[in-house]
Amino acid sequence: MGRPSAEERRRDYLDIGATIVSEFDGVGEGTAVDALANVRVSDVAERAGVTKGALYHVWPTQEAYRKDLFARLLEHSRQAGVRDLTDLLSDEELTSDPRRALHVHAEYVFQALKDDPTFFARFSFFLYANDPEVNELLTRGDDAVIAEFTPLVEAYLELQGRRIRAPFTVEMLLISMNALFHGLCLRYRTSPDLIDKPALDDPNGPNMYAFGIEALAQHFSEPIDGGNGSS
Amino acid sequence: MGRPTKDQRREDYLDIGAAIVAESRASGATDPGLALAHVKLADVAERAGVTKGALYHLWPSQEAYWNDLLHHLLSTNRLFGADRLATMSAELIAARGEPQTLREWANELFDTVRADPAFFARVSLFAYLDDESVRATLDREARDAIDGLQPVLAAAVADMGRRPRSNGALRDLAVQLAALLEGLSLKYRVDPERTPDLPASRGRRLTLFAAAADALLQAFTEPVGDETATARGSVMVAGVGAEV
Repeated sequence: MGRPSAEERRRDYLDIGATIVSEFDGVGEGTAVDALANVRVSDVAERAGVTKGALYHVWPTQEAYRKDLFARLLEHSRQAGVRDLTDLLSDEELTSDPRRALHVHAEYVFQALKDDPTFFARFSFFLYANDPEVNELLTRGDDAVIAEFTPLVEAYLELQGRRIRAPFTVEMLLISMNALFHGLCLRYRTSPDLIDKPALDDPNGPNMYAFGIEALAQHFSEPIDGGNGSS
Repeated sequence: MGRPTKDQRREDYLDIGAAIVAESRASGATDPGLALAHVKLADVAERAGVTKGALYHLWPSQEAYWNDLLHHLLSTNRLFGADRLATMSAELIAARGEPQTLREWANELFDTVRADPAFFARVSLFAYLDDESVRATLDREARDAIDGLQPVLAAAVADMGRRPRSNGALRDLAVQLAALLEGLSLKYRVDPERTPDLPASRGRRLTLFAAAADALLQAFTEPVGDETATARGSVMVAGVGAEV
């Protein structure tokens, strides 16, 4: 156990930032723009027991630190979703019922992220979407969603005896699903009763998010043996 | 007309801030979502023809000014553009019966919202949700939009020979359409190529939002029992984009 490497220290400092974000409870004078803006290099340094200079040695500015932290948070919440769906699709019981696997996954992801400030922090970054660096992060985030979820969605459709219907693409389907998720999470923050409930008020049915992505998957696909896939 | 009172001056300085916000929207500033952060006390002072000190006399910090400005904008309803959903829904009612209306309506909604600085200004307000007045305002706005949308959807669905699958189906559909619209508009903002139009069919444009909206519309409704209506429905649904 020697002295931690520069990379290890960097990771540690980002972990501390993620912890501070997760502790954000919105209490303040309304001056904290968001959970991420609430993370100060000086607080991270204090928790790490180092000087601010040690952090500024790694990141030239507070903004640079926050961008790295943002990249890390994007990564984190995406991986939570992928792991879960991979597990579900390999579970024999659920493989025999892919619809249920999708519902369970959607419920899990929505419940896991709906109140998570580390997930919510991303929305403030959409406002900086014209900043080339932030744009690159958000674009790479979407690329990763597409790369990681494509095999899972294709596996789901195949278990249903379906495939993507031209001229739709799996990318369009994933972007639409992801957009619906983001939109529902935003609305949930102001009007939870409209969002966090079963669709059609059917207590045994899927939640709003699950119902929506199932509808999208159905509409963007068709039975492999031909026929009309749009109904 | 004596010397303005402290309250009047305060009001004046907030009005100047509101004007700066409005200008940054109108000019299509690169980051309209950051409207509040664009308003610097120094600029307000300059426009008011006073020293910065005069403003710091009223607000201890830049943040304190932003906080008051936020409430000022909310109470004067100046941060929000006209409710696009409601306005465009009214247009849909007026044009009811045109076979391609729903598709065109969805296309137009997407074109409008994704380029609307007011939409992004609203999203920026989500950062202030710990403030109950902000949350309540955004909540009321969302409910008004959803309430306004339901009669339109009811008429469109009936035209298609379909009906809601349950009592609350149209409300759920309206909620999902709004969420999808906002989510896709955010995607568009990051990279317009993420949300490409589908290849035009017979020269008719179909945005990704319109196609995805059709998926939701079909899922929340079902054909009315009789076969004539169902057949008619499939034609009308094509108007939104089932047929591509």
